[in-house]
Amino acid sequence: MKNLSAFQLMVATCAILVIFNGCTGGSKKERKNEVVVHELSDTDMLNPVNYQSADAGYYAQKLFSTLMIYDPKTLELIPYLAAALPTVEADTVTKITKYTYEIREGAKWDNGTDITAKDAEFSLKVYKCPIVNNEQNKPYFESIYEVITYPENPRKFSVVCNKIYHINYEISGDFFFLPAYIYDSKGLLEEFPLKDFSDKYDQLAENPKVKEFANEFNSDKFQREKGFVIGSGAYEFDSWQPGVKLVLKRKKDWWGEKYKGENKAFDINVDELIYQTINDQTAALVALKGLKIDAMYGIKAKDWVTDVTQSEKIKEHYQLSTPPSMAYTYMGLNMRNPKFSDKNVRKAMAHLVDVDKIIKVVGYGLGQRTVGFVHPSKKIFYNDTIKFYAFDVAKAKQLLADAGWKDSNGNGTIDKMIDGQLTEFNITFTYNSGNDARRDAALIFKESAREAGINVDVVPQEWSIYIQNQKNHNFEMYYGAWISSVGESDPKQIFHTESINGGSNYCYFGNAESDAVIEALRTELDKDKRAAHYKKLQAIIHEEVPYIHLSAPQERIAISKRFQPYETSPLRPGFFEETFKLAE
Amino acid sequence: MLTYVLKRVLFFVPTIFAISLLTFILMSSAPGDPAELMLNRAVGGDGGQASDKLAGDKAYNMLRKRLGLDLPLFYFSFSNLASADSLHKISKIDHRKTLDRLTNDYGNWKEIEAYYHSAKKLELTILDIPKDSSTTSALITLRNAVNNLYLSPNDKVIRSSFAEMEQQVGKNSQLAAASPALNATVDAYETVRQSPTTWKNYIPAVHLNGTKNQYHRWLLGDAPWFSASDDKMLSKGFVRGDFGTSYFAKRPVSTLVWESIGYTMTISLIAILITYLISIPLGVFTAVKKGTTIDQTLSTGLFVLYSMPSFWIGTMMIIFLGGGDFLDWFPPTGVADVDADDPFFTRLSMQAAHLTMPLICWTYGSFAYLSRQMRGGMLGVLRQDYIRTARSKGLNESAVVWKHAFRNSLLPVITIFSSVFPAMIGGSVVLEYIFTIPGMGGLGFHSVLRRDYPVVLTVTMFSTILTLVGYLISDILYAVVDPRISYSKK
Repeated sequence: MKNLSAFQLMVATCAILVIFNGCTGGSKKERKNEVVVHELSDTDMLNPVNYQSADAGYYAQKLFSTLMIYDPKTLELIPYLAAALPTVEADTVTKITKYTYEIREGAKWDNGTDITAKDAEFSLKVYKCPIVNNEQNKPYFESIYEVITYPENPRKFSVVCNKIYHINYEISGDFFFLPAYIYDSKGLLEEFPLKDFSDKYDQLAENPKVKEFANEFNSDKFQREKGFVIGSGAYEFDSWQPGVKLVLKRKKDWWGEKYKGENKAFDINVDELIYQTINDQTAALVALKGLKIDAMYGIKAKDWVTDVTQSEKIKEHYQLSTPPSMAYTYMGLNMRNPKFSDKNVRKAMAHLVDVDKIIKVVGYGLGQRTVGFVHPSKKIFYNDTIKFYAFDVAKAKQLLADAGWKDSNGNGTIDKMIDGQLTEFNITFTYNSGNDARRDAALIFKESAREAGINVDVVPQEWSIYIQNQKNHNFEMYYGAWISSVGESDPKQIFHTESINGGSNYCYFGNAESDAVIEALRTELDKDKRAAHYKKLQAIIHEEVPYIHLSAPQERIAISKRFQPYETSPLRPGFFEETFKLAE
Repeated sequence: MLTYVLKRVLFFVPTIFAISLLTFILMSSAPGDPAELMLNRAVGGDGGQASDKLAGDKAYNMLRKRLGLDLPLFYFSFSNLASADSLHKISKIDHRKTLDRLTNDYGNWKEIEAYYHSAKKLELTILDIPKDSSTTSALITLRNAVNNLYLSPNDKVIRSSFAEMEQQVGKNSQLAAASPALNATVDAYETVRQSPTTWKNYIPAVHLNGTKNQYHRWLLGDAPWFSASDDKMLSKGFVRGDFGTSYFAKRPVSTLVWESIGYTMTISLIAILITYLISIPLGVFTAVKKGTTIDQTLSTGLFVLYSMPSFWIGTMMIIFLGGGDFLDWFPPTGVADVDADDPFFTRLSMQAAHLTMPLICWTYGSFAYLSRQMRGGMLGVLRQDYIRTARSKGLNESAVVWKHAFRNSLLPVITIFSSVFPAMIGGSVVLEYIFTIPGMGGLGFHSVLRRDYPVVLTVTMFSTILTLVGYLISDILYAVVDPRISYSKK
């Protein structure tokens, strides 16, 4: 009867599983004042300086505070830890700019001590400290040189930058304040003034105290241990089950409560923020329909159109919205490629891309066509006088013929003598493998290019190879996208000729005129004058066509109707769950 | 037997060494640069954050140094006399490629290196020239021309770049500062051209790199062996239990593996247990009932299961049983978010609910395979004479099957059993993804995509070791199950 016993065991196992399930199925917890936000993947860490993943940045905003934040509605900077927006003094001769702040009265660390100018200086030291693992954002703080403190007012200080640069206004208030009593309990960095981190960087890298601090700061403890991830934000780190969920809890006596109502930064209503990881989009949508998730962003366009907006259950329980997201997609052309060196050929390419069709078919209509690198919602900087390149195969053919491209050998593909060689117009179009939307967009282009006698070979490349090829200018045409900041962008990294070698000017764009505009823009502190430069640059880029600009996609967001109607924002990720108010 | 085991264990050492070396070389020669990826943030995403692109050469070089990527690969390198002994010090991959091709063309690395350094100097000189309205466009041309030098080994391109630069410098007196550096670069290039030692390309040579190489650092470490060192930049090496720090997570690999291995091992162990508990009796049963309708029905059923892909079944189960539009039987994710202060049974029941669907996916496919093996083994044994003898002795059927036949029919199953060990930590990329289980499959997969070498190496090494252990154990089990198999010399 031994075989029976094995079967018995099996049956018993199944029975236990079923019984256990019975237990969980029935007990639905009473929901507290909490928000469950879906995340596609787990964050990397909670260290506000060293993090790499975007969601880590969102969490840092709840745990730590910066001097200013962007208002989700107006997209203007508003004071948070600072009592007011900074006063700016710029010396056009010495190029020294000073941004003077005063920290809010009553702003305190969790141990009850006041947040002062000293803390600003310490935090900036950490950002600029050698060996600290933040190579990706160190250059961002390069222009910050010094912090001036004022003995008569410990809450007042000036951030000094040693050059004039329009983004410095934002940078000077865009760093997380770190409590020195937690992050540098031994006071290792105390003796070094902030300017040493610019002037004597290499020396400091060898200093044993700096080394000890940096290694400690990089350690696991400050990435994810309770009691070591502490800031002056409204929430504290409660628990983290890696790959499963992260919980942040509202602080009991947060210093910011007394400023409630003053601006969006202090509009805190939720007791507990729960970030639930579900890798698979299908499973996440099932969880959404099962009402296990309160807020979800980044829903795939296809699912959004075919499932989410069609489901009665979702429509009954969720508010759906599609705010614009600060990003743009484009097709990049290698301007040094002999085929694309003629401006008219590039314009012909632009006429061959049916952008509206791509937005409609590939993007399911969830995007807005853009003219350039400025997001259309930034109205003062966006150049709305530029006309889109119309989809016009005949015009493209004409432009190509004018540029000398004709089908001389009658094989159906246009050709031209380049450097004494008959060159057929065959191009390779690359995109990152797995991104089917980009592939489909490329195929739409391929079809219309064929009508003009051009052969397009659409080639997927593994991500790391794809970006390496762009950096090395090793491409003919590619599908790309940039995520831009909410604030003003610095076009230098993408469009200045100095960024060809080492920067992100993959397409070899630029001439003396465009460089001059970019430089003028970077050193112009008057917003309206700067806007004129932005518009001019967009016009030049439109005329030169290094990029065929496609669209600014729209975010896809579902928020539970357990909460009062919420207005989503172009600010990533599109909503601020801590400000949700429970519906009556 | 003991000597046999010892001998086998000793053979582990060279095997592991060879596999580690192979993995190491394969990985380092794969395209993609981890330092670039790290500065770019997003992996597999739709683009980078523009502000991060500010990261210049300085950040890049610092990062490479910290990761130990500036070291040569191995203790020695086979190449030819001409090849560069200090090429690995040049951090930019594209520059390295150009120089490598120049070396192939001319065979004089010393001169080529001098040419490269003069080009670098020229670039710096150009960057130092003050910009104003009269120089801007000329400077752009100059910078582009220098960039061409970095990227092209082609004589025609190099010469036309020189010509372009000379023309610009000659035209504009403000650019005269660049003239000496330009002449030096042109001279250096002419030296390269005029003193070719192409014959060196055909003479093999061995370059010794000493212990300061990436492989040594990874395997044995560069920290001192017998004295304590506080320097956290030094690695202790794999053999001393230091698996390195993940490039991406910036955490010790051992911690990452430790966090993931729990989930994977729990699921694998339960899955393996269920598979064996079901398949073996099933195999025996179908063997005994060979040819009957019930045997045929079961076999067909098992093959149908076997041919259904688990990721599809997984997704279907989530959609239909996960509480979306249909039945709300099981939670759609594989790991329960339990609170540590919940009572034990609550936690257990929650975990069981979460694990049901993944476990079904993990197991159903192997029923067919394993029970077929068992059935085949059993059938072979049941035909033997001694089984007939046992039956004719009047033993009842279950005694015949379980006492006399079962043990002898286990050999094929034991062979399969050896793969259990690596499977225990291997996980499944697809199923872990579908059910959001932060296990080893996902860890390994993402590490490969992110070029996170330390993690990839550790995961590979662990499965290597466990595979070897698995084979050893199955060899021992053969002897245990079948007394005719013996490893000791008679």
